[in-house]
Amino acid sequence: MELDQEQQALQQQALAEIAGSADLRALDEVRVHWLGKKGQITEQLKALGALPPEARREAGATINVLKQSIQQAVQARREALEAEALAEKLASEKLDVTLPGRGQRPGGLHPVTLITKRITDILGGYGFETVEGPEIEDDYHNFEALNVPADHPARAMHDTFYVQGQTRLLRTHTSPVQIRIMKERQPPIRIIAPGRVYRCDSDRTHSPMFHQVEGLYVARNVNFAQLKTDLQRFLNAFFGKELQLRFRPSYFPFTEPSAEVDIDWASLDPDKSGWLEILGCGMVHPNVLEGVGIDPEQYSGYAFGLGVERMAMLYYGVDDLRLFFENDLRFLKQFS
Amino acid sequence: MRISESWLREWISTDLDRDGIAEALTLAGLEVDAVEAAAADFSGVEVGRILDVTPHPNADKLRLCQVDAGESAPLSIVCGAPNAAAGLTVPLARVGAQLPGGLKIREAKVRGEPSAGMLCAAAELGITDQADGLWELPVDLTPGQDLRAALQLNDAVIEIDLTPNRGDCLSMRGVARDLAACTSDRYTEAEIPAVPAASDATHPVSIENTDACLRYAGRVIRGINPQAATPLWMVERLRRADIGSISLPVDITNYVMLELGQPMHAFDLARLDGAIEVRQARQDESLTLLDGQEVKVDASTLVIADQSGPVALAGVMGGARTAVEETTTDVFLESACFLPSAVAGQGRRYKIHTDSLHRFERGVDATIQELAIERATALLIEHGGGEAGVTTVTGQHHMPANLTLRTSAVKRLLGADIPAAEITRILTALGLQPVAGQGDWQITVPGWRYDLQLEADLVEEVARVYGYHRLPAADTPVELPGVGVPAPRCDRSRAREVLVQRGYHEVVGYTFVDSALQEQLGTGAGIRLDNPIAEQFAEMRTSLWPSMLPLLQHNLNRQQERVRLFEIGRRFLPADKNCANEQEMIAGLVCGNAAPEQWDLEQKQVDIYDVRADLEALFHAAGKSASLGFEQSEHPALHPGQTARVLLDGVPCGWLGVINPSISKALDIKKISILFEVDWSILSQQSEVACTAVSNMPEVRRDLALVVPKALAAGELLACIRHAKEALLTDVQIFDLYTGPGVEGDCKSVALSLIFQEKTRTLIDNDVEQAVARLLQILEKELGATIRN
Repeated sequence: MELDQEQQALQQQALAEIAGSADLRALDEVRVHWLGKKGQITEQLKALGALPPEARREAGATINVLKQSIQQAVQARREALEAEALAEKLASEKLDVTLPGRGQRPGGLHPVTLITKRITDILGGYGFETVEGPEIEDDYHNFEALNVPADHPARAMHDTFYVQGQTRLLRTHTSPVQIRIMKERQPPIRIIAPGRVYRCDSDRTHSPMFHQVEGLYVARNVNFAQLKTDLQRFLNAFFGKELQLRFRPSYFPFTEPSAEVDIDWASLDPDKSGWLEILGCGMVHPNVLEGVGIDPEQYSGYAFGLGVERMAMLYYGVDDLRLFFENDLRFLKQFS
Repeated sequence: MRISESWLREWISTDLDRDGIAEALTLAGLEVDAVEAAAADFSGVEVGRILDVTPHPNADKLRLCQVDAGESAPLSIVCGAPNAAAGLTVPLARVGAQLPGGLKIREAKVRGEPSAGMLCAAAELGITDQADGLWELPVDLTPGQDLRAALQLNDAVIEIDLTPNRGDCLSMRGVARDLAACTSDRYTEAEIPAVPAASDATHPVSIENTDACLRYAGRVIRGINPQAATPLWMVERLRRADIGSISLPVDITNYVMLELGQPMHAFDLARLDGAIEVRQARQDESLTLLDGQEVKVDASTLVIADQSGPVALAGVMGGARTAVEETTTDVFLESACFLPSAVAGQGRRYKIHTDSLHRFERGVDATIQELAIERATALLIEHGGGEAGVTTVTGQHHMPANLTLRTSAVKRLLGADIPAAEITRILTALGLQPVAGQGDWQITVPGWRYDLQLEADLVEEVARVYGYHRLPAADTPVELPGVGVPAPRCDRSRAREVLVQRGYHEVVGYTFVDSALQEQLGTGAGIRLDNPIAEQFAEMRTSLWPSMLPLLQHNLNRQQERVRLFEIGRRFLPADKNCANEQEMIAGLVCGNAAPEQWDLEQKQVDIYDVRADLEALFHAAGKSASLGFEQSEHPALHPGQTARVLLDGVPCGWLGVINPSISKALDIKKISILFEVDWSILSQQSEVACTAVSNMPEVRRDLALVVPKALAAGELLACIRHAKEALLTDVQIFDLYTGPGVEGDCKSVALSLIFQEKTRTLIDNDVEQAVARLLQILEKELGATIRN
């Protein structure tokens, strides 16, 4: 179906006008001019009625070809113009995404909280239940029941704060929680007791208030070998490294045998050497078990005590204990 | 305890080097704190003897000394020390010598006179701190000898941090004995022959109670030379143990204490009034001690007394009245065994700590009193002359305790199979004289091991000597639990997370605070400490605020413009006489702008509503939004018009408010600060989740602008609506507040949005209009509220 010369000229003119329309409105005017009710193509179709039926069919078909080609061109041009307009709109909406977000900025937790949680999470996974006890204690729970009678030289190991006008004191360690729990429950007992403790001492390496986590496991056949395994596992988990530990004899009135645990610095930090004292532990002293009504021939137990700030200092590389209690925001923000 | 390495090596023959000894001690439970050189680093210093001293021609304070340096011709040396005199033996730093601190000695002219070196004071060689003239060395040293060699200064001092159970290691003998047991090295007991009596002189001694003083050895020594000097080697060994030299008899008693562990005392015999009694003090007796302190003693104190009254606090310190002086020629030596229970608590009571008390508190070997007195006698006679009387021993013999160690106990407590032969070897090396039986050992506790009282103590000894590091670890970790622990709806982690997300930093404050601040804040007087580290930490807090306000000051003083802090911790309310009420609280403090400074948010000072939102979030996390309430109230720490009592189901559980301006002024806090504090135990209580089905029926919203009296609290308005129990009403919010034109003088307009829903059907307008009308009727009746036109 060939377009005649006149039709070809019309087509070229229409396509040129479509291509030349600068925006959707101009395109619409062009569309109406050619395809509208009074448009040129419509007029040609109307004129078909005057032709004899034979010629009408053929001419109608060619006009339709012409009409479709113009329709397609309008459609294509519309899509192009729409895409252009959208791109332009989007470009005008461009934001500087490097500007900071709006609103409140989160604060952070205290490193003592973070480390206490790390310790209790790991030990909690081993089945140690977290318990708590009072910070103002009596002599019985803090000392006597822990095998430290009055005037025992071991009391000099603890510089104790006493409450005025009373016999009570600020607990010097979390060990009294052991006594409270053992008096309340029957073995097997497996607890950890985190909390604040107090000693009247204050310098770069001593704070009058600090935090400990006490651990206690009393059952049948708990032994030193078990203690070694569990502490090795705990410390490896805490520091995320296979550590070299050294158990070394020491003395705590409430454990026998007693030990200090040292970490080989090199296994923690390849740039360092020597031994690093990390915690105290031992087998619960028979006098302590007897005192709370547990038969030391039937049951045995181990206990250990961790200094939270000490663990935090190692974990975060803090070298001055006092920073934890100064609560300077410039320090605290580093743990956010 | 400070141990001289060279002295230790006289007791034990070991192949271990210095570090090896230190490590072996640490692994034996005698923790080595430090290993220090016995003398500072210096070289080229020799023994010199001053032959002649002449005035310096050009200086009044300087003199010219001719010094014998072991060579044919004496050296000429300029010296300014006032004690320079012919005959003195002194340290001579020759040309080329290097003194501590790097000073190099060169040939020099001092005020025109040549000087071939320098004569030294002890302080110049880093030996002592006092600089009082030349160091006078013993005359028997040979001029020209190297000083370090002559005085054995190439020694080390090993500082051991002894645990209180190891009183047996408070001597050279004890440390050597224990080290040898752990290293299997040879330990040589010192040979201390008895000094035969040269006269039959004795001094009578009686003991009132052998439960306090087990035994008392005494000996009279007459005719010692009061001018006799302590030999330098002894002074040096005392110095290395941090004990100063006082006089020959006193130095010898200290030396024997260091060597054998037996504290001794020397009385001036001439000043003792008759027989010695070891007894409890009588009422109203008193005593002036060697350090000049006068103490009142009573029946709870064991004393040594003569016929005029107490002459010593037994095992603690001697008295001034009978002390050895510069003129003393006759002494009475005391070598006693006071039991730990007899001296316990005396140090705290009299505020004295002595080397003697330190040892008796921990237990002194009950078998060495005679040995010590023989050793002291021999030393005294050798260096001070004199004539020994007869050693008298009053009291009882030590009765050793017996213990049993079962193989099964070793296995049970240690989880280790240590061969029986090894256990026997260890027990023997420790001097426990084991007698093997069927699966056990009978052992005899030696007089020096006060700490061995139970089988568990023996198990520790076996483990200790065997080596903790050699003990096995268990094959399996601790077993896992079978029970779960119910967690509260809002645990501390959740609460912390809520506040952290809202911009707070957690702090950990001291629980002891400044009582003046606490009083100022009116949170109630707290429990006071007997012995605070400082006055501003003397009282236990009755609120977390007195801990937090100093932290605010600290941070504001360090250019922190915006401070938001919170803490979870306890407060301590005084209850009755012997109990405190410890309450866990959660508290916050907010200062500065509501939001951090940023490019697209208008800055405004934080106000009470910002912080109230934080509290609402906290209660929401605890599942307690619906129970939370606030009411206007007053608190001395807070602004009288901006204070809310926090309520949970109408019951007070905390405070929220702006800090009282008079307090912030006093604390020099220039910005508005907002405080809150809530009882954590109430907030953290379990709250059940009651889940109901969700309705798909549409909600209808109606907005009302009500005109109410200005004084009406919003909380009251909302409470009134809640109490109306309108069945269709599911939520109500305040979305605007207005005062100004259109609302008459004493009124305000409150805009409410009311949400209605019927769970089973779609509401029609009529339902809602009727519900609104019912509400309006109640509001008008109860609160005088009217609809704003």
